[in-house]
Amino acid sequence: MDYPLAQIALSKFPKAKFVEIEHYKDIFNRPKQHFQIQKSSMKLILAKKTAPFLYPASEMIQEYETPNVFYTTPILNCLYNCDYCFLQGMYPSGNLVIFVNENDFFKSIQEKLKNLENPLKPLVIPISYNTDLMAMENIIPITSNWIKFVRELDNLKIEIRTKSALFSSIENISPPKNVILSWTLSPLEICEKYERTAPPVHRRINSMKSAIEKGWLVRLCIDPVLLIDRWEDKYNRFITDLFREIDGKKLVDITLGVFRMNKDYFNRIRKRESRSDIYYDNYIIENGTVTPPIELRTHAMETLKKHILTIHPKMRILIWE
Amino acid sequence: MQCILTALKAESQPLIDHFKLIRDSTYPFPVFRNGSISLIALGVGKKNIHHRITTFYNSVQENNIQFINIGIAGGNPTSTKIGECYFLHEIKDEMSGALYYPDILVKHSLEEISLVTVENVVSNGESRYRGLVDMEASEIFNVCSSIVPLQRLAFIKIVSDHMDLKFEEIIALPISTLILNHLASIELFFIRFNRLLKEETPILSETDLEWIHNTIQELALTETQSLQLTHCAKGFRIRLERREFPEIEKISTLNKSTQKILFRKICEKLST
Repeated sequence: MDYPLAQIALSKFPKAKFVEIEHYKDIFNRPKQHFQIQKSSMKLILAKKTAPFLYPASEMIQEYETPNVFYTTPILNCLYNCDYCFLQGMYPSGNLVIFVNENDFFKSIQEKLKNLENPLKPLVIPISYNTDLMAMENIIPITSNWIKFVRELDNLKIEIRTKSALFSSIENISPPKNVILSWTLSPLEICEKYERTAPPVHRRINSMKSAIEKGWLVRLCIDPVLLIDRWEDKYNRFITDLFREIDGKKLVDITLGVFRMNKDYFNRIRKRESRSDIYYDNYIIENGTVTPPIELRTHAMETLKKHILTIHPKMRILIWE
Repeated sequence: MQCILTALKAESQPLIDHFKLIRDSTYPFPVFRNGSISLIALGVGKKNIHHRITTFYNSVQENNIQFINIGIAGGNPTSTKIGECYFLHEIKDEMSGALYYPDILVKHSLEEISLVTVENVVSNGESRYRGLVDMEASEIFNVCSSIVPLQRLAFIKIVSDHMDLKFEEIIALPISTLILNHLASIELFFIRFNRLLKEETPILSETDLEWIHNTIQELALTETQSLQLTHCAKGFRIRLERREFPEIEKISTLNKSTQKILFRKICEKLST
């Protein structure tokens, strides 16, 4: 409770009832919890994380051209609740866990930088992989603290992936060269059906535009691409419209990927009778990953890549295949 | 179904009257019922809890049961007021040291507090316990959480004393009145809590399951095909809540290849 982050979090909820617990897992990892019911009344768990602080990157993320890719988990679970999100299959609880000992995370990264598998390549860390950090920034300033921490570190890049419209919460920070802000965007139909709790897409685009204008490194994530009825028209139109709003030349790159999920997470979500039709489509299982059949996903990725390149021929596109 | 769990008769009576519950004599212990609300009188202490709850649970056809423990408790004189109603967010079993954390998932206007379940009446514990004490809650949590998921448990306690009375003095208190004073908020909680059960309603209705069963029989589907059919049917039901499932084509001679074609056609119909 003496950690500054804990004090900040507590100050944001002056009317909250506090329950002291021994270990966050006593609550978070209990069996027989209902993830979705808990999501509608999320509780905040403040905890101290113990090692490990870095995990090898999942095969679900795009290739970042370095072997030194790890992810970290300053927060478990997300303020949003997107239908296709793997977190509902990964965690037994819908509650949020914030690890308040951020200096321990920072120390572990400094150690890792001394022992890289390939020291000639940078260490890349997506820090918002199991959560949406920026969405929480008004509650707890983890995003800005991480930016301050990495600013002076050579050979380290962090990616902060978000669907938030809260760029305003960090806009006064001068943009470092080793922080990439990545916005996940989807066509309106997808947002309205599958991302109901995330900010509307036009607000995300506005945040992204502000970040580009302020000189931040910005990545666009069209991921997951959901192969819904007439997906081709919907995504192509969305991409065309998007590049009328934002200057594509100023993007670092674009990541593309179809829906994919670890088989065990997928089956767990299906077993819990998710109300999303995503979980009742036909998929194949490839190396433990549930995903659309290869010919469908290759076609989808090629189609979208081609469309992006017709607008921005030099765009760097990272694809999960 | 919502099932109230009480210890004392004086706790049960106002609830029996309010919800117009009628004694169900098929049980060898006091059970009262009216439609979707039941009440089991557990008696004081832990000894009957496992037997009575599991006997009741095994006898009812309903799987979706919420258990709500309502009763009086002793309260710390500095942190609680006599007559106040509380939701429990932490229950400690004093004997075993086990800790339980009921999920509080509905909006409510009551205070939340922790409770210790003790073996004997506490009549001089004013400074020993921070919140409340009772003699049943930990065992109720322990038993109920082994048969239903955590979101179906709730604990409501009304402070009857400040841990300074003997058992005879406690039962001489106007316990029914303490409960009566909070019936409005208890009933409101019941309504809100009941909504959570709807979140657990299966995607497929009995009729849907019957259609799937018939289709499996008629087409002699394999286990994998049956599973696939069920998934397609769930997707269909999510997309089209009220639409009937497609009719199954009648074929006089069903061989392996016609079966496959028919199965594929049905899956396609369900998926579009």
